[in-house]
Amino acid sequence: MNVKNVSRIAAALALVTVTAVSAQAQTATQTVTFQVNAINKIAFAGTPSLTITTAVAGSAPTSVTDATASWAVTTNQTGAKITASIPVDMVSGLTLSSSLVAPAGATSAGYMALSSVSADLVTGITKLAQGTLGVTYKLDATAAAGVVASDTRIVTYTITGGT
Amino acid sequence: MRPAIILLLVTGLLPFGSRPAAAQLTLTTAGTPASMIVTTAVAGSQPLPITVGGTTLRIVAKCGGQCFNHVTAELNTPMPANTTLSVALSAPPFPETTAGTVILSTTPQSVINNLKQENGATVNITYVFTATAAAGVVPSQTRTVTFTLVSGP
Repeated sequence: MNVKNVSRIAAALALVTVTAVSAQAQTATQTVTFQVNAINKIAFAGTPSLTITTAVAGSAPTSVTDATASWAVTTNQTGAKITASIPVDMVSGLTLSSSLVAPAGATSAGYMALSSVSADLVTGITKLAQGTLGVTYKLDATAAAGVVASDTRIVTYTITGGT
Repeated sequence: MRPAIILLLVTGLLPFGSRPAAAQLTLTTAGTPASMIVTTAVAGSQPLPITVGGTTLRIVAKCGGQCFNHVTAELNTPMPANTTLSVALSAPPFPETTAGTVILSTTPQSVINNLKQENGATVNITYVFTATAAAGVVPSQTRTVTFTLVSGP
């Protein structure tokens, strides 16, 4: 055994030692549990006001609209829809309607007359979160409605989850 | 005679040189994270994330000399589409650095860097689970998070 061979053996042993250190690893584990429930949320903002004040001679009073309100929606389901109703029907000769701008991929029914029976305004809302969508109210009156003192209606919008 | 002496010296030195092999590197978790259930959202915004703490990771990294360690974390299976599971470890009481909040995947990622020597420190583990509306309804599932203490630079 000469000096060169001894050096080689020593280098090999040193290499094995270094390799043994760098290969060390210790582990620990945790189990994490998660789930997502069905979520259907809507919000409306604004305090619209509608007043009919005029008409074209020979025609019914001129309808008015208010587009100052907005709405927002979040759903993680497929095919959710928005319905609307008012607690008390409008007086005879007056029609209050609402139209919602549909979020991406959904369908708006346009102006829908509001009554105590729920009406579908937007359908096919699927897995999205979108805000600042337009709401437009329209008030129609016939001459037969006469003069109507200021009144209010609370419009209740409901989101019905899909699947 | 001279080669024999050199070999004797070398083999005599090896026990000192191999001390790092006896280094103590251990990780121990304590506690089970509470179930993370996304249940609500602010209309117009994505569902609210869920944050869960309350569990810990104990780190022992005794190196027989200078060594460099880091702690990685990984998942056993990818998360469902449009969901993320993140982990953050609290800053350990030594000059090493945490990687902050790290989104977990099946690829190991450092959560503590530049760990040089630690006789035993306990750090807090915080998980954050997020889901976008596009994730849909996700039934209860589990993932195994593996923390690994690796020596070497």
